[in-house]
Amino acid sequence: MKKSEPPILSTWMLERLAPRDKRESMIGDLREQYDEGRSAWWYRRQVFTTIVAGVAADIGAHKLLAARAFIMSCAAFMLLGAFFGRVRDTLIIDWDWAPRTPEILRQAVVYYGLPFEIPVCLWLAATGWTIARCHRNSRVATVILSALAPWLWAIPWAWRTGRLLHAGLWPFWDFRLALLYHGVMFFVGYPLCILLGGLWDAGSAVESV
Amino acid sequence: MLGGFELLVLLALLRLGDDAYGVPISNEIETSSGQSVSIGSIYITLNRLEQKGLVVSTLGEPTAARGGRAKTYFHLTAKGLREVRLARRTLIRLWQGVPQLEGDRI
Repeated sequence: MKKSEPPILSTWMLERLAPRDKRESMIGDLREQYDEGRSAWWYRRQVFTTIVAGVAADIGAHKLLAARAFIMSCAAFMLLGAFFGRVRDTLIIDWDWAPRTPEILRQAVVYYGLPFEIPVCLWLAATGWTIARCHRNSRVATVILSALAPWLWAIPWAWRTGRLLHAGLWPFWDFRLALLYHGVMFFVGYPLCILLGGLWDAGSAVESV
Repeated sequence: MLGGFELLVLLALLRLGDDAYGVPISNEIETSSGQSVSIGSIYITLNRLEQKGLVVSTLGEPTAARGGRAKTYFHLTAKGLREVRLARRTLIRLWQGVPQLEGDRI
């Protein structure tokens, strides 16, 4: 018998993202097998496959709801782009506008557009939260699917930028760290905001069995 | 008509009798098939079978050994047993008279 606890992050994810029906028993079964000597790697793999299988089954069972959630997320992202695009155009941030000290804040404002990123992340979290509220019976699947919506914009952006960089035509080579940052935000940060907003009140393991 | 994995799960339930919950079901399928199975896919299949009326579930008592989590026990219904018999008959009929399968050893 093992004395150690199973991987904390995996258990945390399982408690929130595993299929709701009989979730408690499922977590107990995995815990029992882990205590009987299965490895932490085995546990993580089980958690991952359980979540993926649950999401796939839920989307298959609620196709229309899943499509609605995805469209909601896309619409929120388009609105966001339209609104902040206009704000950014009118409120050009440059070195004169940015705070002078400390240097790291100055760079965060100019290179990374911090004044825009914070409300963008909050807006996306609110979108995830709204989608979760509107789809209580298939919350996990719809929120995960919605979190993929920014990729519709991220993939063409990465493709265009990659081609320019490859051809040596990217005009802002000095800003490549900021470019990497925006890539990470597009592919990981924004989806994560939707996911966290959606799972905000998902509760831990104390869901009805 | 039952799917392949559904049939495996139902057969595992039959073999385990009253002690059929997630862990032994998973072990039974892994031992028989020699392949690793995910607990999640077993539960998803069992939920589907329950919705079709082929399986019923009962909740056991929570135990400290499982982090205070209860076991869910599964049992075959009469309809489930009929489906397994039907699948068996169908498969035997299909296997018979196939030259490529004759003389096969497991």
